[in-house]
Amino acid sequence: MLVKQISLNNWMGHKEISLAFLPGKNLVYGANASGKSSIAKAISFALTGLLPKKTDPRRTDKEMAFVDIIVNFGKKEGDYLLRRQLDKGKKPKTQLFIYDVDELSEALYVGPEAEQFLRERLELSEEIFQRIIYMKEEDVYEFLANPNDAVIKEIDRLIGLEKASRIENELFDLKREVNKQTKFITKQISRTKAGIEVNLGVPPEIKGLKPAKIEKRLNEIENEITDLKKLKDYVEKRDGILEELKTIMIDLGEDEPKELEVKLIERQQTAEKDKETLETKQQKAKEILNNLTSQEKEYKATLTLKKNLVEVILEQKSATAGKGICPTCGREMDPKLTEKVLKNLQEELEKLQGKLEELIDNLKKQKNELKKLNHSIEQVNRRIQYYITQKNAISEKLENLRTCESMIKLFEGKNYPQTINGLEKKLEELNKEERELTKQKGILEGAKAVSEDQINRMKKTEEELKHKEKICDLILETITEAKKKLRLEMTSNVKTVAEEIWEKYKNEHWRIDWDDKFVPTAKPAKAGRVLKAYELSGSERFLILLAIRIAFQKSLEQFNLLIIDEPCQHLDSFNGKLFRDVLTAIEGEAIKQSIIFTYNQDFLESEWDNIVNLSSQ
Amino acid sequence: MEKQIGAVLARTFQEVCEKSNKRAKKDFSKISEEEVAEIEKLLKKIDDKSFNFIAEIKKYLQITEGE
Repeated sequence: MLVKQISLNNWMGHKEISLAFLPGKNLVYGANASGKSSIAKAISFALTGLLPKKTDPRRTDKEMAFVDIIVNFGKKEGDYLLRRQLDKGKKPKTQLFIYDVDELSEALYVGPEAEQFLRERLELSEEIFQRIIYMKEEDVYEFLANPNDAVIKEIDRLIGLEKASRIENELFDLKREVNKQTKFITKQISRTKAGIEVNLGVPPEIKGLKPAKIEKRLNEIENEITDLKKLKDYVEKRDGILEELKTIMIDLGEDEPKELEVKLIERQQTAEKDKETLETKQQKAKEILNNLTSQEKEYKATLTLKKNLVEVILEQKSATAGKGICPTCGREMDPKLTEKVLKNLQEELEKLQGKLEELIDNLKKQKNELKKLNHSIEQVNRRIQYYITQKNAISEKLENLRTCESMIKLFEGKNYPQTINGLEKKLEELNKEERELTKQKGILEGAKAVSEDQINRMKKTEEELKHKEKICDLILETITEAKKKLRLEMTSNVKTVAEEIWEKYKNEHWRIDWDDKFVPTAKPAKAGRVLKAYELSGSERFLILLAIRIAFQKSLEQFNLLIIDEPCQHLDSFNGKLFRDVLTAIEGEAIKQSIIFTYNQDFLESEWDNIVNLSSQ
Repeated sequence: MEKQIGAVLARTFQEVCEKSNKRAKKDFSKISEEEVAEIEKLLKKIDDKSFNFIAEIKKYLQITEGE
């Protein structure tokens, strides 16, 4: 793009002015307040459409203002006249007209169409105009004054990394905010458990105690209770047996329970001997009784026989008038004999009757005796049975006693109480502890369940926040990487441009490098050593500044236009000259058109393709 | 034509995420393809003057002050 001419009407300090520019190096010379900066601002306005900030550029709002600029966009097109018109009135309204320079009677494009046409040609914003085309006095001053930071600041500004840095700073703040929230939630997680325990009434003594520990203690208690119940059963059983044995001992008159069995066996044996004696007596008594019974039968039979005989004799006697029949031979007997026989028989009967009665008495006595013996045997049998039963019972009891004692012995190591009262007291204590722990376990499990649920939700939030932090980190890393890439690319271009210009300007090799913070170092041939940024001369620094702009414009392949307003106001005459020399040494391939505005007469001494003297206008 | 950084940032972001995902051990450190694509879209718009990247990323990540 080439700016060929600019005409201003009612623009800032200019009522009417027209300036022509040429390709190559243009110098606009003028004293202070001659309106140099107004012209630079007019070029910006014409190309970007944006009015100068904080000011109404019209000299008077009673008239319209015009900024006409003739440009050539290249691309084998002709020249165009761009007219920016500002209406009169309190608020300036602008409109763009684009004319073909060879046909000015009618605008090619007006208003939005004209803006569209210009945008397609340039896509030039005021920002980019300010950044890469228009170099103000303060830009130069700032660059020269801060040699260490200047390069990177300028490059960042031109590339637009200021925006990236601003986003970077805001992202840091954002990340800090997310990190704050993450830390908060992490803290909350650790507090939640304790908090829930307090809210659910977990007693202070078990705070921090895990349900597993309570569970362990409950199992211990359960085992202990089982042990104690068993022990109590054995002790009760043992004491019961001892009590029973005590009664038996009293009965048997023994002091030692273990001797009871022997004693009972002895007694049983004695009873069995008694029984044996009694049975012998019984046997004898039975024999006597049998004899007596046999005798009784005999006596009775004899008595009956004799009675029958007496009756027969008496019947015969009555039938035979006193005669009787011999009971032995059957012959008749005389009455005397009969009487004698009868008498003898009567006497025999009486004797027999007497003996029989005596026998019956003996029989009775013997029967009583036998009855007594039977009774005694029965009693002895009962006694024997009693001893046997008792002995068996005692054996069983003693066996049970031994079992109980051996079982009780098993618990000896556990230091349990040995009395029923002691055991009951201990069981009561354990049951109480079990009830309390079960309650606490329930509370803790409840607290755990509630806190786990809450903590899981919080952990999820924590992870989400950490993920957000990670994304912030990745974007920050991206910005750092991208900045590094763009800075490296640009500084490499700047190095090439600066070295080329220097070589053409001074015909000497000049090597420029950047340290890791993009602080320039240079090795001019004459210096013989590497100079650090602050050691470089003003012109060398200015060359770097120019090289940055040129390199940037080259990277865009678009403008090749450089406007500099008061470039060396802050330089001494020596550096000022070097500065001008550098500026004028720039070849046309680097910058096709430059427009330098200055009040410094010394600039007039250098070689320019076009000098516009505002003082003579 | 203005120097655009959005495209460079978007491309770099993809590279940075690929590298990061390779060395990420925890789930929350990994960034999904969908997330990369969404954030790339935002980064590409960074050159647009009317686009507020921080506001948009806050909206996308649902970050509120004092969350």
